[in-house]
Amino acid sequence: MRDTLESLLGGRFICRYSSPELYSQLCDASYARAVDQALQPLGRTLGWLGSIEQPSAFFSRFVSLSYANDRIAAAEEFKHIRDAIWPVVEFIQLCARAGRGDVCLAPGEEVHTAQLLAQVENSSICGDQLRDLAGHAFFRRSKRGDSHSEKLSVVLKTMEEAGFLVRKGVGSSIFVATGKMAYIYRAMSWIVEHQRLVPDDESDAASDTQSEFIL
Amino acid sequence: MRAEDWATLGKHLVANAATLETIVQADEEGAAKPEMMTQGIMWLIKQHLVDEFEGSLHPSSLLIDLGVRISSQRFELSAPDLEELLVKIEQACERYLAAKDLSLADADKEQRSIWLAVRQVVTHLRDEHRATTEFIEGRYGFSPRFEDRLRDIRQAVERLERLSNKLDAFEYDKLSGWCNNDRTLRRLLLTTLHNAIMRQRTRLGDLITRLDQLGVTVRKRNRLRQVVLAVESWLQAGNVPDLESILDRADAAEWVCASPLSLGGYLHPPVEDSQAIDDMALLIHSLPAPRVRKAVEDLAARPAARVIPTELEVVEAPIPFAQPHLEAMLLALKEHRVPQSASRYWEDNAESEYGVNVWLYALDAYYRNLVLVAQKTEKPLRYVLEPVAEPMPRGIANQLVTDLTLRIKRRGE
Repeated sequence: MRDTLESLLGGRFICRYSSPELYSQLCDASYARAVDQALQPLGRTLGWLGSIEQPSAFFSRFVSLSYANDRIAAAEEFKHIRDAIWPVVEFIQLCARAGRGDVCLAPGEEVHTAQLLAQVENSSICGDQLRDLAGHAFFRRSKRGDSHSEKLSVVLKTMEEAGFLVRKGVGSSIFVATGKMAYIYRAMSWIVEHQRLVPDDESDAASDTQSEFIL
Repeated sequence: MRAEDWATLGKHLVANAATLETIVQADEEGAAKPEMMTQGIMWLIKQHLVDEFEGSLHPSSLLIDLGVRISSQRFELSAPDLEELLVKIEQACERYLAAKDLSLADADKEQRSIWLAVRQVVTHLRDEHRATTEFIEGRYGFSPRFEDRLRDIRQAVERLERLSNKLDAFEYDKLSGWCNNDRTLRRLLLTTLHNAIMRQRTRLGDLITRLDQLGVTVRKRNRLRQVVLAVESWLQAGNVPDLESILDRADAAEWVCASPLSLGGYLHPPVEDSQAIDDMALLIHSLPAPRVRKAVEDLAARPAARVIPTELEVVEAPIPFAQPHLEAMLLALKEHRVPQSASRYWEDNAESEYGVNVWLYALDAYYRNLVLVAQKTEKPLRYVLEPVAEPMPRGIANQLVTDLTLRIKRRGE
């Protein structure tokens, strides 16, 4: 349980792709209850994305935002999500263009570095897209490369460090989208609903509630 | 069947590949009979792979099935013509029962025909199950677009439902009636065919459920794709997301991850346990000494030396730029007893190298300095320098000062 609590309190998301063992333990209701009880004295509780029967990811959330400090921290976290939305959207679009198909990077979808790099090097549109993407403050870091390969490497590394991607195996060049993607999607779905960006009749699942958007 | 039969089939198929393609591609009128009927075509007609009707050649359903099967790259395999096979089985059963007592050879031939038809049905069902399973385990089918995947899934479900409905025709009572208590037919129709159909019906039900689940997943991903596209367009239009409104929701706490919390603690020594305190003292003494930066020189070792204070050179401070001008303004104020405008003063007495803005800045800074000195010396100034500002613009907190007015301080000010 120590590993689970450390992960949760460290602000990490536990999903079947990032931490399969912890995830399967948390899927056990009695274990999840015990973890929740351990979090409660710290003003936190066990949160999840998706349905409770098949959650995409578990994370630690505040029990309530009645404490001023918790509310300030929540507002700060919303700023982090806000700052991540555009870079993540553009990364999804780059993967979609490179994969020549519909890609939404839902948890479990794979990103093949070699395929992405080949497409970026062969297509000037993808190259421009990568250049724009690497220009986001989200991906800006002291070590910035000029070549496509270096730029892509920085982008993937940042996405991995932010918890949106995880390597399929140690040293693998294939990345898998984690359950944290559902966290970003929930915020984006809220924007779509709040700003009325997608008419209801365009949606196949018009009756879906917002929580059901999240895989 | 023997290996030679397969070899003969292969030989004739190879030799007549072009003709067979013409026959399969022909419309309802069929393909015209070639002037020279080859031995291969004759053999295929004899085997009912090709039908000859009114001087034209038509493909049999078996040939079409075979053709679709070998040319299909994807899931769209032809549905088995189960109704036709059922009719074939019924007719073969009737012929078998009629021939059973008359000719063993004919009965054997009909039995073989029934066996083949049964085999065809069972094989079709097995293939259908395998193709659907592969489709599902491929997770999204073969299409790159979500819309196409949804269409594929919908078609697969409809296809399985049609197949399931067709299997309704293979009723136990009907098949049992055709057997007419013949042991051979009962083994073929009830033990083999009906049992296989019952098994497949259950598996088809499971497959339809799995396809439905896959459809839900793809629909959700399609929705996510729409969300991505919508948000991208919205951001490109220059909008900035503001998620803080979520904080107003009753369930706001569910939306956001708690800030990271490092696990740590304080050591509370057992103050009443002297042994524990001794142990801790020992432990602390055993730790390496903290690093202390060494003094450059030992102060005690330095010999005493006489220090002669040097006399500081006093340099007279330059007269502030604004001082003579302020004094001139004060004289004018004293003389006329009316507030003096700094801007107007500068219009009359400007030093050409400085603009009015520099003058106002300098005067303001000098006046503030005088105010501070006055506070320190407790000798308050008898005049006030007041800013004259333009109205505050909307949305900007900066205000433009256009003039400074020198006036005599009022009582109580």
